[in-house]
Amino acid sequence: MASEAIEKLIAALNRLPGIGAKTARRLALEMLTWDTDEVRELADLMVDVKTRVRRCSICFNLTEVEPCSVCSDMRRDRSSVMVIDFIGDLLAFERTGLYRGLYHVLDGRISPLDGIGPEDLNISQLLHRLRHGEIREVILANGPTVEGDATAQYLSQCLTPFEVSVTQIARGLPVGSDLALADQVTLSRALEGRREY
Amino acid sequence: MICHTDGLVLRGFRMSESSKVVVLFSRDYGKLRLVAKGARRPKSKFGASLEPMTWGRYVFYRQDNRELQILSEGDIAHAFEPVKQHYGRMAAGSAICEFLDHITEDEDRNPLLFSIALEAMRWVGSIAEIALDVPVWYFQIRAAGAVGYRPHMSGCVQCGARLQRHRLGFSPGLGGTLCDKHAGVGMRVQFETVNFMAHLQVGRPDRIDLSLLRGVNRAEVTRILRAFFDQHIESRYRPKALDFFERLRAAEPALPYGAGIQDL
Repeated sequence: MASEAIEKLIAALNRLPGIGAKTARRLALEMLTWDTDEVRELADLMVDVKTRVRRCSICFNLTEVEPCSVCSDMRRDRSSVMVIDFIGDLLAFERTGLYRGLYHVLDGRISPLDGIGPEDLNISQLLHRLRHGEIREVILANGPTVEGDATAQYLSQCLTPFEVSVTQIARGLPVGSDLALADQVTLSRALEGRREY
Repeated sequence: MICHTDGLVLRGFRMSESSKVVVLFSRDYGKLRLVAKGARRPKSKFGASLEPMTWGRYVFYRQDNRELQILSEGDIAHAFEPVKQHYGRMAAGSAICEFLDHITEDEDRNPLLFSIALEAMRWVGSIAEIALDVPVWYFQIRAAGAVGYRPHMSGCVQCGARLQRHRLGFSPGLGGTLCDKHAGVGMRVQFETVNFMAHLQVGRPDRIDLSLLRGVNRAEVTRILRAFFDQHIESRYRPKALDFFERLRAAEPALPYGAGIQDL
């Protein structure tokens, strides 16, 4: 054992996703080579993020102000809301720069095997937005998995009473992949989602 | 050693940013835990072959004394799309996969159980929605037989007497139904319920007479099976998918089986 303090730091870093014991040790030793001010800055940043960042009460995006920058941006199309499973999905769509509507983060997917049901997701909040907002289109952008499809199916049932257009992002082949190597499920989804060219 | 086998994907776990662990019930090696490197990437060679409730042909590198084997290839044999594309059927399929995962030990080969699981999954995809409980019951009952603790439903488990209509019992501890004389030591059950459960033990799905569902009390079947498996399976079994499925069925309008039976 190097020292109790270092072992504690390694154990703490090891709790992060994707950080194994070796990587945690390397990071801890790297920090020891930094100036005290640099380490303090990192620690302050982490505490700052933890204390200031919260969830937007409307769309459940991460934000420091209420509502979040997406919900408060009046230049965005307020008639369209994209339903996504996780905040990471929102960041991915924002990186495209193509979508200019609003979002709604469910914070998970319906997964019977994990005991996650509709009541565990932010679905009632979405329905509240539909009742009290100006939304005309709901884009279902749930992940292309069994759980994502189940979530989309459940949502489409919930959305039936509303006068909104419900669409789903395309399923199928990733750009740059080899068509001959695609499996039958992926190919059939791609075929089902074909469009006029 | 390179191994080839058919298997049914029971579930998957995220392992790292790009990889996942898949629990596969295989025909030739029993239950396996396989690492699929890169399976979470959009251009993964595994495609949809590792989604739960998928029957596929898999190639993996097997090494003794290793808990996780390395998956090399996955090719879909049957994706059970009718199951995955319907909310209630997906819940039923999940309950079957969860139960199969729970009643099996790693690398304990059981080809009969594998074929029962495929039969049940096919049936989940094709049966009328009103009777969606039946394939789940069928799988639970037949799977119990395939792993060695088949419930005794054809007579009294105490004395062997034929079951009469008026008063019946079921004893989870004794492992079966009880006649009028011995019913006092078990839970009270209806004749139609027991009769249908016994019928599920004998045949394949295409031989099951769904008209026998008339008069069957769904909650009673669930209660009997729960009590039986609580008694015979390790007590740590806390079924999430089965709970989910049963909540879903209970939330639906009470289904008088008799009313829709002619449509089955």
